[in-house]
This record gives sequence, structure tokens and C-alpha cells, in this order.
Amino acid sequence: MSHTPDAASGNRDFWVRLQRIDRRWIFLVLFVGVVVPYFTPLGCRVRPSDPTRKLYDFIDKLPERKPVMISFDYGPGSAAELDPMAVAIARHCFKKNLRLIGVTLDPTGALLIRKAFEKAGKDLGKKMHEDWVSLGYKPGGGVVVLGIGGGLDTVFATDSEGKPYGEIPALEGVRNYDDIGIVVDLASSAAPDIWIRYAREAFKANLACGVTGVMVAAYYPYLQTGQFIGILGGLKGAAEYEQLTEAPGDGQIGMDSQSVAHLIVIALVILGNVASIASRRGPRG
Amino acid sequence: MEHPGFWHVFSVWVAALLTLIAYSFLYKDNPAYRFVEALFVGVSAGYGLAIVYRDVVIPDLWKPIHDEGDLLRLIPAVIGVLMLSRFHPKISWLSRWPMAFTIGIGAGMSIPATIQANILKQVQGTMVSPVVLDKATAMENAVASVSNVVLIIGVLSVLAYFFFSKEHTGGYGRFCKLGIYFLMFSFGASFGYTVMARVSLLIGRVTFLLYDWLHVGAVLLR
Amino acid sequence: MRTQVPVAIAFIAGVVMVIQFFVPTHHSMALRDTLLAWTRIISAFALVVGIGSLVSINISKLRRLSPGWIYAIVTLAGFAVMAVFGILGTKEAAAPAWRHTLDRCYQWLFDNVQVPMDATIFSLLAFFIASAAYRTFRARTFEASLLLAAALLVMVGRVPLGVEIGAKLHEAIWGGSTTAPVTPEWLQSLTEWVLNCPNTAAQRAIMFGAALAAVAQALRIIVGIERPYMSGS
Repeated sequence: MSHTPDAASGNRDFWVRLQRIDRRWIFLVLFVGVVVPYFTPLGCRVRPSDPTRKLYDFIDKLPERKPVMISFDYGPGSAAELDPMAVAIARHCFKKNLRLIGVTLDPTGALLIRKAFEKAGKDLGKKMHEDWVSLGYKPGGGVVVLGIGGGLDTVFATDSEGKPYGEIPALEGVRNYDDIGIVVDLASSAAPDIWIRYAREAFKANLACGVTGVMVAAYYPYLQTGQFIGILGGLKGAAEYEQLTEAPGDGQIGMDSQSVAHLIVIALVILGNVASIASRRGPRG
Repeated sequence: MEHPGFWHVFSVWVAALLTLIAYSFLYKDNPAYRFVEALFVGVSAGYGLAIVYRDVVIPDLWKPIHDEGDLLRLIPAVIGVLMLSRFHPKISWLSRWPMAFTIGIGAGMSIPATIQANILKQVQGTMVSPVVLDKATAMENAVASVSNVVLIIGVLSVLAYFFFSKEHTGGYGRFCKLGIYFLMFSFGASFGYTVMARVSLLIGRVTFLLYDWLHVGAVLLR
Repeated sequence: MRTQVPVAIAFIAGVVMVIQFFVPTHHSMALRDTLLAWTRIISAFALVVGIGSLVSINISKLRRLSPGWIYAIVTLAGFAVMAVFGILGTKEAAAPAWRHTLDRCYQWLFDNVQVPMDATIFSLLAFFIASAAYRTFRARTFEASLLLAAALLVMVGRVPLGVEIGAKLHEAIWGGSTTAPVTPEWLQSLTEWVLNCPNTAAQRAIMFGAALAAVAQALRIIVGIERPYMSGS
């Protein structure tokens, strides 16, 4: 089949126009793709990955009442990815009757701690100060993490409610990292590097992290060396942890939409490449 | 606040309207979006100041000095106040002292920690055997061996690529080229994950709008 | 006074922290803990300086009635309300009831104003990354194709639908045979392998470079060759 130069040029114009399509159409397609699965769920099964399973197994084996520290190193901007992780891990800890200590190196994370622990412990009758405590925010990053090694009470004299350290049952017998089963850093910044350097290397604390998707790839080297016991990556990591604890939450709710949105982006990339190639082909003359 | 039902509905509506106004930017920049953006900046700054007061000033300064008579705490308080001299050009040089102190502490504590966590441990993690024989099956041994070889070659080739004191030509140049391929693979994986992260944030807002605000959706798990 | 003192402070602070690491005696650790406590307090003032700058920029915008001054009012009002509620409000049981009410207002503003705005503004990136992927992600060279391939693999292999499609393909080819060379979750395993091997290798090499640079930079700061604390004052 042969094309006339006019037809070929018309075809090329089509592909050129397609490349310059108003971006708002792309926005609309993505939005619809995310919304539709809420009404017609795909029901795909979430299969937990190894890094998630390793963290789950470690926490599962901790003895009763052992304290677990979660560092909420993120703000509301990344809460959609990390809050589901916090709730899933906290729920697992509460089911195992472990104590939870919440801290943050990010000022915007301070008010997220209580909400996550309350949500996770609501059905299990877990109480603030008895089973969990929010110690709030301290500035300084590495200075705080290193300071905890010297004594948790030297860094946090009171909890975020103003209650003195010594009067909080959830902190009974907790001096430093030696008394904490594991520290899980949930972060949207470079905070995991800080915890690695000043908690893991300086005090041999057991450490794991849950990070936003943007950062996951950068933290795999720490997993291979054993510096991290496990890693949860993005909303999918939260969904995997929920699957292991058999307690569906916001992670699993979002997985169908996540799947469809990824397929849309893949289709867009392919279409963009096809359009780019087709528009570069000139009519032979 | 007598009627919690009303307050809950009102709160959700406020959050939903702010969400929709912020999304209006996708259609076009507009005054309503700029209002929300300005409000966000202001509220965040106010929150930051309040959290410093609540979580630092009260427990770490006021209570130890006022209630326990720990006058040593006055030293960092005075040094910290020097930082505020930045707002007065004539004495702004005084802010260098607290800055020098915190930067010096940070530099000193980071040297041994970085060497341990990011250099020695990573070198150790790269010293893996290229031949693995202790797995359950021959297939697993083969996969583990290939993985270790890929890891070793990958680290060395990327390091070679970043080493600019030797010209990237000949066999060495091809080895450096291999390093670029490893980098591209890693950046691609990061990009894939970045798409995932951004979509997750959108999912968070859609979940809020559909479940918490409109109460619609097929799987009301919450 | 203006130059030598800060250089001396940075040198002493840095050297003390290095020495305490290598000589962890009771006294050196006590000194370390004191210095860390001081640094936490001083760091809080740095945060205040940042907030102060933002406020002063908006006040001067308002004074000059420069374009967008109306938004400066919104920013300053939001700042004032949140700061007042947060500072005067408290959860302490012994405090008067009005302070508890202010604390609830502070929490309400955080939950229903700050959280949705922060989350929504960040989520706008989802739309822009989709648009950018469509317009600019081109496989024009071999290197770009590799980048594209890894991105597509992660995008497919890290979501349940992608893994499900992989499992269906597995069934179509091997029909549930136990002798198949790979498991039905092969796509997820492949993605994990990419992250664990080639990705780890590249990230580790980058980490070596960054760590060596960070150590060199820290040394330069301690000995006073690099003086970041001198800028802006």
C-alpha cells in the first residue's frame, strides 16, 4: 500500500497534534482511572514481598510488652503513603500486645502520631500512656537519634501531653535502644540515613523503615547489608503489611486504583513514544 | 461544640472544599487556588512555631529552668537567641556563633558514623562470593551466584564511571559504559516508584472525597 | 571576633564529637549528651529564624502593596491564628478550660485545614508526572530505553494487577505445571531482583561517592576551610 505525500503529511500532523494534546485531557483520564475502581473493584490479591515479610516476621517474634518505636518522619503531604503503614504496623504490635512509642524528627509529624495509634488501637481497647505514648517532636535530626542512645528520657522529658517520662507506664523500663525491640522509621525525607548512622551503627539498634515510593530504590543497599531488617515501599508496602496482618486498610483500598493508574501511565508512555516516532517520519519524495 | 455530628460534617466539608479548590489549579491557575496556597503557607508556619513552643520551649527550657532550677539550660537558650540577631543587620554577625556550634557538632558526629554506615558496611556488603553453593537447589545456587556477580560488577563499573582521573577509552571505557547502563536501570526503577508514590497521594485524596465526604464507593472498608 | 570565634567554635565542637566517638568514657559520653541537649535547643531557634523570615517577607510585601499583597494578608492571618491557638492551647490537665478549648481549635485547624491542603497540593504531582511521562519519556537512545524498561517493569511488577497479569501469562504458557522454570509470581520476583541487584549496585556506588564527599566536607568545616555559618549574616 502506498501513501501520497499529502496523506503522509496529514498522518504526521495527526501524531504531532497528539503529542501537543491539552494536558488537561491527560489529567482527566488519570483521575477517572483512579476513581472507577472504587465503584468496580478489580479484586486483585496483594502478594507480600520479601522486605515486607521480614519486618512482619521480626515484629511477630518479639516478646509481649516489648516496646517498639515508630518514628513518624513525615508530614500530611506524604501521609497518604505512610499513614496506612503506621496503622498497619501499630495494629500488628497491639495484637501482639507490644508497647508502642511514637517520636518524630519532622515537626509536621507530631500530630499524626496520636491519630495513627488511636486508629490502630481503637478496636483492641489500647490506651494512651498504658499501651502507647506519643513523645512528639524534637529538632536536630541526628542529634535526637544519637541522644536517644544516651537515654530516651534525656531527650524526651515529657510526652506530647506534658506528662513526665517517669509517670508513663508505657515507658516503664525503657532507658535507650537496648530496651526497644525495633525502631521503624516511616519517612518522606532522608531520615532513614540518620537512623542508620546514629541508631543502627552507633548503638546496634534493630532498625527497619517504611518510605515513600520516591525513596525506596535508594534504600535497598541497606537491606542487603542487614542494616535494615525490612523495608516497606510506598502504599503497596502498606497494603502488603495489611495483607500479612489480615486487617485490610487504606493500603488495600487503594491498590486497584494504583494498578489502573500505572497501566494508564504505561499506555501514555507508549503512546507518546509511538507519536514521537510517527511524527518524525517525513513523506518520501 | 454541643453537637458532635454537626461538627464532624462541618469539618469534613471544610476539608473537602479546600481539596476541591486546590484541585481547581489543574484546570487553570485562579485566585481561589492562590488563596488556599497562601493560607497553607501561613497555617504551616504558625503550626511550626507552636510545635517548637510546645515540644521544645516548654519541656526543654521553661520547665527545667523554672520548675527544677536547672540554670545550665540558660547557656543554650542564650546561644540560641543569638540566632535571632540575623534580623538586625548591625549585629547579625552574632548569629554565626550558634550556627558554627550546630554545624560543628553535626560535622563532628557525622564523620565516624558516615564512614561506618555508608562506606565500611557497604564495602562489606559488596564482598560477596561470586559462586554460591549453599542453597537448597541448583537453580537457587545459580540465581544467587548470578546476583552476586551482577552486584560486584555493577558497583565496580559505576565507580569506574565516576572516576574521571582516567580517560574513559578502550576496555576501561566500555566498562564505564556498563556503569552507565546500571545507573540507567536504577534511575528507571526510581522513576517507576516515583509514579507509584505520586499516584498514591492522589489515591489518598480520592479516598477522602469518596468515602469520608460523599460516602460512596463499592468497598466501604472503613 | 567576627571570624575567628565562629571558626574556633566549629573546630572545638567538631573535634569533641569525633573524640567522644573513639574514646567512649563515662565523662566523654556525659559531655556528648550535654552538647546534644544544647544543640537540640539551639536548633529550635533555627526553625524560628526560618518562620521569622517568612513572616517578615510577607509583612514587607504588605507594606509595599506589591502584587499579590492580598495573599500576604491570608498568609499572615493563617500564621497568627494557628500560632496563637497552638501556643496558648494545651493538653495539660491542670490548665484552665479555655486553654483546652484553644488546643482543640489548634488540632481542628491542623486536621481540617493544614492536612487536606498539604495532601492535596502534593497530590497535584500525580497529574503532572503523568503528563510529563507522556510528553518527555522517550526511548531515543539505548540508555534511555534501559531507563524506560526498568521504569515500566517496576510500574507493572509492583502493583497487584500487573502481578496478576504475569500469573495469567504463566498459566497460559505452563498451565500450572510444577516443572515451570519460574513461579506464577515471576513478575514480582523479577522486580524484586532488579531492586536487589542492579539497582542496589548503582545506588551503592552513588552512596560511596556521596559518603566520601560528606566526610571530606565535614573535615573541611571542622578545620575551617569551609565556613557555611558565615553566609547570610
